[in-house]
Amino acid sequence: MLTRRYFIKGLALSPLASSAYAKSFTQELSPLNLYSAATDNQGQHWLIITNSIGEISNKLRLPARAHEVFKHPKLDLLCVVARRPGKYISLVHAKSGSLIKTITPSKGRHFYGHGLFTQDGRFLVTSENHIKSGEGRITLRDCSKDFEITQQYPSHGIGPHEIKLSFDGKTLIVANGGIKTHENDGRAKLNLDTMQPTLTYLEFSTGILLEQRFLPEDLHQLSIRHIDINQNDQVVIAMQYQGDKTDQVPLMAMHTPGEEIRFLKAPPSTYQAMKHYCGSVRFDQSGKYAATSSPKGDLVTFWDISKGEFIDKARCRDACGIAATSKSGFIISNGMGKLYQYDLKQKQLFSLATQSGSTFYKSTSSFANTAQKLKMSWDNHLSINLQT
Amino acid sequence: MHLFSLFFSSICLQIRRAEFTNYIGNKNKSNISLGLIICGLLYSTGAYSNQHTQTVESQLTEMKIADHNEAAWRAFNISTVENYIIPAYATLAESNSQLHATTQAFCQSLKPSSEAQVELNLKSAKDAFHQSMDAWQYIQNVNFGPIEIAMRSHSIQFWPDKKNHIGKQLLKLISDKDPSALMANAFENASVSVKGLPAIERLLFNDELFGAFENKTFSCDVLVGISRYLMNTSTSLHDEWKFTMLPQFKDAKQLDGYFEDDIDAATSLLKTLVEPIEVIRDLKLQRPLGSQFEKVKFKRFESWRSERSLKNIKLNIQSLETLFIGTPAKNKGLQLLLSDNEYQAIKENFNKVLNNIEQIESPLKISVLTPSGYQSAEALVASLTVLHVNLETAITHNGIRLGFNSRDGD
Repeated sequence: MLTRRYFIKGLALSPLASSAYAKSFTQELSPLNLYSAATDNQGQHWLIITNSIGEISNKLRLPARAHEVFKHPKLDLLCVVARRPGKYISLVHAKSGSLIKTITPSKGRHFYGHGLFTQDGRFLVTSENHIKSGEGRITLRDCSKDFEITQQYPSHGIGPHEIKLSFDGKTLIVANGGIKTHENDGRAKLNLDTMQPTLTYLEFSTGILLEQRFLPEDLHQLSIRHIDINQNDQVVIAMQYQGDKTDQVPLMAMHTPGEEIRFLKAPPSTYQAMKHYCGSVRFDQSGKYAATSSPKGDLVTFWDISKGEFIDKARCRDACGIAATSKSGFIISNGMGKLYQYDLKQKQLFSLATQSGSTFYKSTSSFANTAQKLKMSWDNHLSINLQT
Repeated sequence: MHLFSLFFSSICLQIRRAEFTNYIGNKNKSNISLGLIICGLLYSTGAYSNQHTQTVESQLTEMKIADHNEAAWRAFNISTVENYIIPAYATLAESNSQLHATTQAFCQSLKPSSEAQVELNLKSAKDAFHQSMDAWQYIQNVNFGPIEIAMRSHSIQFWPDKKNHIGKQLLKLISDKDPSALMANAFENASVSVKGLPAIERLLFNDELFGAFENKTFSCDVLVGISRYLMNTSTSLHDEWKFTMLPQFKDAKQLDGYFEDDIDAATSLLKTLVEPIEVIRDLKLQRPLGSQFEKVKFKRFESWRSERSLKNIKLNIQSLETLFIGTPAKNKGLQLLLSDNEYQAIKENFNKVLNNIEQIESPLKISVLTPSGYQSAEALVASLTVLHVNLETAITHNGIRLGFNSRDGD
């Protein structure tokens, strides 16, 4: 029989470490703001802005479920993109939470839930679907011209999802998920047998195809959905498997421009525990490590990108949103409305809200105005603003 | 509204200052217009957002059932672990000990005994296999905790086996005749595909490759080795639940514990009630049934060799029903935690599923080859869907969120 210590700690199943540590980490974190979409138990959708301990400072009712929220690099401006098939983008004041402007997709288009502002703050870039043809599109809107569309080009794939810019801002990297969805509902999957996901590099200013990477033929049902990029333009890829439920497949990969896509190494039991699904992926501040969430497996996994392998896992129920902190770690949000912090040095997951009291529950119950108390579920993605 | 105007004016100034100081140098003119647009919109939308803010504040007072009911959930958790999970693992451990004993007896009888005696011992071994599989099917739904360690779940039953790993690995093991593969702990480290119940099923139920044990004492030793591994593993599972997991449920909020609180612990248990229904439907029925009658693939049924595919499903459902209803003398299951209507409706759903199972003739691999048999299996699929939806809805309604990001993902 395994000892208790091996059983509980050795398998990294422990969700929470002692609060003494958590307290010091929480203090290091502040000041910061977190942004995320959320859904309450009445099925209403919200943009939520919190402080460093997860207390809600502002919220805005949204017309439909949203996906990614990201902040303008220079302005107090948040961009909230509707979940696919997205019919709106809300531009919101980052401090007050007030709606500034709503953008709707052009006729015959929908958003895919992801986008970005260019580093200079000039353009809002979104991944979109040309519904009739089912082909992916990238659209650039000029922030200084009332978000007028100034450039559009193909994403060179079906189902473009998350997009990232290279460090110099000249190359746009697109995760073309490969899944064609039905015209009517934008969600029913039509081409699982023939899907061909790609990681695609486009010249940002022109849309010219620079590089396109495919997966091995036997793994063509691994949808390349979420990506992140580090300071060296290495891309980490978190995938979702659309094949047979019983297949054993890798779900994490990385890519360096000019090379093949490389799968990250992990014990088969770890990939299996991720249940064919990664919800979100982020590099840490150093760009050496990455975290990905597997809400279907109640699991967050951590990866050493320089070595190309798995390093740690933490049990976290329904975890999905991930944001990198300024220290070596991540903040993680889940469907129970809770926030956690993971520290890469200590390899521990802490409750973010733990400030006083000896246990997680006692401490969170002292904060009434949290997503958990409001019965809100944090939606797929979490953003962090490290400056105030 | 005056206050709001003042507030938003200052924000507009902030935004514009940021633009002027550090924003794309040559675009100042158009940036001013962005600032103005934003300011204009802020004025018009301030009231809108404030109104919704108040809606949410009012929800603060509306604390839902789960928070008040922590003690009730804790009672449910402890009772479920003590009266349902631990006894089920005890049965599994006993059955596997019995399996080990009977396979040993069978193998010892091969040489000196009469044919009749060998037949008798083979029958005992088969019966013991059925007992072990019964016990496993009854607790298969519990997929968290000790069972997650070292791929134990796959080790006990590697299924489905799409690429015939079991056949290949077993053949290799037997033809290699490597005595070290039979050492005391050898099966601990063996491939997951050769150390579980499906490998025993192949050896015992007359699979072409492994059926004849005569003069094949090595295959018989493999049989004994696998059952020894199963005995040891299931004994560990039982002990770990009893001595390690139970205290986690008794004090769910302990530091460095397995759970965060009683609700978290209840969520784990309730997931073992709800999620297996989809697995049973999708893997045990729909995958072999295929999209239409002509596309049945009977070898995709679980345990088709020992002709117990339907019995497995029945045991799965009976087990889930016990988890839901409780064991009358000792615990009340979910009865006290759901409304009476919800509870009765779901009880009915369970009855419907069990009735549908009764309508199907065993073995499933034969009965689904007739149109009426296929239809009966489809009816079972439908009733499982209803049960799944109603269970999930009722549990969510009573304050336990089984998952948000984990379903219908993006």
